[in-house]
Amino acid sequence: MKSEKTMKGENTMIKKPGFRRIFTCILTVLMLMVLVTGCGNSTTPGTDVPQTNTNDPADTPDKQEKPAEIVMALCADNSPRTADAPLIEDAINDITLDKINTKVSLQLFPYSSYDQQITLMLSGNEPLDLIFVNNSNYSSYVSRNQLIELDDLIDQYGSGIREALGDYLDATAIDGKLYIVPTIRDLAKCYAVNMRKDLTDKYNIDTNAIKDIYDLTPVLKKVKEGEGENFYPLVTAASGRSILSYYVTYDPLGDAIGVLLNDGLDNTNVVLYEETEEYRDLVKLVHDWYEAGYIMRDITTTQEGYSSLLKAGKGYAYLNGAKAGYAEQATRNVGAPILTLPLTPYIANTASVTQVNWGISVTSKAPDAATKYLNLMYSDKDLVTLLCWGIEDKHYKIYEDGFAYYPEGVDVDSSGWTLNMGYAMGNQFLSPLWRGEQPDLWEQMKNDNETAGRSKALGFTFNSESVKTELAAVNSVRSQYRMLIECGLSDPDSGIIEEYVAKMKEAGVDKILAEKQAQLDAWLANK
Amino acid sequence: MMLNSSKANKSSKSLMRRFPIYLMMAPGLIYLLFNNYIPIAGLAIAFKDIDFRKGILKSDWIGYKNFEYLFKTKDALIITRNTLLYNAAFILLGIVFGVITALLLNEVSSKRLLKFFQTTILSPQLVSWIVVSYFVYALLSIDKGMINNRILPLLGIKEISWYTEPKYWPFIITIMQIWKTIGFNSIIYLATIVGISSDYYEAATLDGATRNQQIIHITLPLLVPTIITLFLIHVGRIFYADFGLFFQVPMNSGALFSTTNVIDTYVYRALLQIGDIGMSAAAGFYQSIVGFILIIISNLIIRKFNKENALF
Amino acid sequence: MQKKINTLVACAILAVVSISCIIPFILLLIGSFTDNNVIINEGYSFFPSKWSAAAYEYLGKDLGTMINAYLVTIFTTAFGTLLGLIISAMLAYGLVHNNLKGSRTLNFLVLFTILFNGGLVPTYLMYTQLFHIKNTIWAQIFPSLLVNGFYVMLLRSYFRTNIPQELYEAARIDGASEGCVFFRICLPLSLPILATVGLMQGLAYWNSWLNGLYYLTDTKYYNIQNVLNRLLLDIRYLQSGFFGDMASELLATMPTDSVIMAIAVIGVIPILFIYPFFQKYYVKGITLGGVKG
Repeated sequence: MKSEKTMKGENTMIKKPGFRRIFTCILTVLMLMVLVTGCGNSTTPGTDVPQTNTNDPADTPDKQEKPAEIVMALCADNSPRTADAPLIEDAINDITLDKINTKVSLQLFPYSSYDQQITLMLSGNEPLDLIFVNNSNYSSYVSRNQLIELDDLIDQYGSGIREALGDYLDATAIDGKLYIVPTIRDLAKCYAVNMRKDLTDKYNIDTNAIKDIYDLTPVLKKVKEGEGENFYPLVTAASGRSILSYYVTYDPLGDAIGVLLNDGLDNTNVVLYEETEEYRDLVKLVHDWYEAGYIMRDITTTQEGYSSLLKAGKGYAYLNGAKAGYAEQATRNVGAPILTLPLTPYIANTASVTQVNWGISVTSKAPDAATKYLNLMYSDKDLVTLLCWGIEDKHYKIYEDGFAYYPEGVDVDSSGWTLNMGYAMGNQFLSPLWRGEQPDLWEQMKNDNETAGRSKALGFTFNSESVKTELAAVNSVRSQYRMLIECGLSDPDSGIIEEYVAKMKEAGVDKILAEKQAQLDAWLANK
Repeated sequence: MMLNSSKANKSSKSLMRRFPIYLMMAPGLIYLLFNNYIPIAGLAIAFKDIDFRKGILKSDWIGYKNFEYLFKTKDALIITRNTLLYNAAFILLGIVFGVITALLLNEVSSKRLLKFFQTTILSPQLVSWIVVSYFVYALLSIDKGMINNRILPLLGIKEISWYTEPKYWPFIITIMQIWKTIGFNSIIYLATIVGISSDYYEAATLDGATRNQQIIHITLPLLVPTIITLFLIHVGRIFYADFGLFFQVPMNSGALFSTTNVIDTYVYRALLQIGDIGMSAAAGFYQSIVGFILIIISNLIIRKFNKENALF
Repeated sequence: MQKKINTLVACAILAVVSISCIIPFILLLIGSFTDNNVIINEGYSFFPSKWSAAAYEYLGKDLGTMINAYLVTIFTTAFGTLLGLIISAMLAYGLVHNNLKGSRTLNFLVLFTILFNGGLVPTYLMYTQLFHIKNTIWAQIFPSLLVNGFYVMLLRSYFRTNIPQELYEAARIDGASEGCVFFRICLPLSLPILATVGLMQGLAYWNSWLNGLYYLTDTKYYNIQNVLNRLLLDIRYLQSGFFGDMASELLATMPTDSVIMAIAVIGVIPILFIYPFFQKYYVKGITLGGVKG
């Protein structure tokens, strides 16, 4: 009960300066007590008193009443690559003050504590408007009511959003209501093997013969035999991710606990993937690879991602989710030519569409302005380019061939804004292409998005609220077994999969599956 | 009011006498009130289903539902066992090694050497567990670790896959914990040792006691109150585990869970995707309650033997 | 004679312990100067086949941030430690008086704070809404670090066991005020524990990064641990399989192993240099206390 006053804080009698004064008072009293009770000759911290009175910038009153103010919370690292964020913020405001009379505060949060920061800010009812949402936290954000409904706002202010996204926008609705706006990027994706071109040529590998994951065995064998004992043909794309998590032939229906087989193209039966024959066969395959030495032995604990491993000449290939232009992106990261060969068709499902999105916080004081700003992110070329590549002639320059690249004398580390998160900045199709990309990249991506197969459950989002106890327990079991099994360390014939499944059942996975199926059926019936 | 009352009144006099003491305690108590007590009201979150549209205060009460996941699997038993056993080992070995190191430091007469030893022994305290995990990995990695590459071949032992063999980890984790905290523990004991009045030793020397006898009969008994204080405080934290040590150092390796999974890591992994503040508050509440009960019991026991040494 | 043998044995054992404590730091230092490809292919080594300062060049690009972060750390450590030490010592001094009304309750109340905390969200709400410390330098000083019940208990137990109660009584009979007794008698006799608690509190401030993480969205008041840890935590977070398929691409552009080692070195080496100066007072405090007692 004591905390009631605390929490109501800012909307009742409590005003900032008042409480600051009390705070200062407590400190001063404290210091005085030291002085009064002390003898005077000892070391008193009295000299520190004035410092408590120094003004902190957070308390300076806002003078500009007129423009709406919104906060855009982005996650980013704090390496030198984002050092110029304040300049970007100023440049954003040059655009937004002019066009929508809105002042934007760009705040960069660490990846590792983004969700936590958002939760804290929401708890404290702090200024927060645009929230970066990804497909793993989307459902829980909605179930805790952290996001507001966007339907009316988009109808009113979001014509650019609707135009840019088309019917993919509605694929994100929960119970017929929109809570997020997906960014425009690869809304459909495939899974692919990516290999170093130099070694592919050296061993005369017939890339046309690689159609699915099983075709990789002879390739890996050849490279392993040629390169020797300490070379591992298959490496992980990112440490902490299993090999099989990059070969997905099912619709994960959110968290992949209960999936639709065959990408959900032809059925709507929720099954536990780990129980299927398909899973067992794949585990057998990677286990054979592991035993044969095709996979690096410390794959479950390695600290290196694909770029450093391939760069260091330690590996040859890795599996990853891919999109048009992926080979160029990987080539940039590795610093050597990479070939990308799709192993699965392009598929759109809810997870792929909602991979990166923007939502508006339930605590937003200016949802109108936030929607207007979001609309600009989907329709204003200058704003999108600014967010993606920075300030012209400082962070990038458009060269004669039409591609953007660093200005002379600037490189990736010295630029100050090479966030490289174009896919998160609204409609990146409006931004110029970076040097090295295929000239028709945006068209290719658009085409893939339009022609991709669509899961029958596209648009269904599982609400896990009623089973979160079970979900927490199952997540814990998965973190124990997944890497071991799916990286090939365990022999599927040893009964480890059965053990894994049994533990998940004990944790209540059946209840999750039943709930998921029920929600999916209800959703299909309403459609 | 106080000043007006009769000076002959003894109780009022003693109150006046003591008033400055209360005044001196006030800043610390006020700080603890705000920093530690007021937020305790927020434990109510553990019993709520948080809905940000309603706000935290108005969210629905859901009883013990947030606690259920802690006991949902059979792992709950393993996790509890691990947490308790590790902490018991840490407390015991922390005391033993801390006291021994403090005694050894006390034997060093050269100030320069003492400074050197203290600096180095305390230095592990300065690095975070993440950084520690990197050099543990440098030692233990199967392919490029120094132990597998350099040391085991010398001894003629086959290489060991450290990160998939749970049986080694109780030792590795305990060693790392002792390594990191030994400096910290030893300086607390050293401070007490140094504070012991030299009269005791002089008297003992006159009686012909050797230095080692002095250590056993004077230094150690005088260390007991400090040891008990530290012991009790650690008992209160027995249900908490250092997340960095148990998550970062074993590199989150699933194969090691049977010996490395503790409450804090379980909660982290379980809630990573769900991110429910009610459920994480529930875990904290559970940990606090168990620690609270244990500390009350151990204090009662200690009170029985020696009232002076009990904490309260 | 026995003392000499003891000293020799002690030195020998301590030397071994010391070396085991320093070796990892040497490994860190060498790792940070090793070419990253060498780390991946050959592993960490005390004698790498190829040296490189690339990691420091990378970090050097953000020198301004680092220096600012160091200044914040130094200020908060000095200020917080001094203030916290005085408040804690005064509180502990009060708790020593068994005959004081409510003494047992107060003792218990202080101890209780070691066991229970309200959790992050309520604490955050109180500090941000009642005291408005978000994005101020105070965020690095006040929450959770200033007074620690554990340290108060340490001080109390020292005051109680190592200072003869008769000294207090004698002073009071002479007419000294409580403040005088505390500052003139209690504190000078307690230098060892004050030095110890001061050291521990200083370390806690130096190593603190959670406050910065929760209460600062503006990086202006980031301390050195915030700057360094944020990068490490982000890397680890992305490596724990979160953030979907984006993780691999984000990680691909993140710093490499040698940079991580360099980060650790930058966070540790300065304190290893500052520490001996600080320790001069610590050792002095300890030995002075010993002589006087």
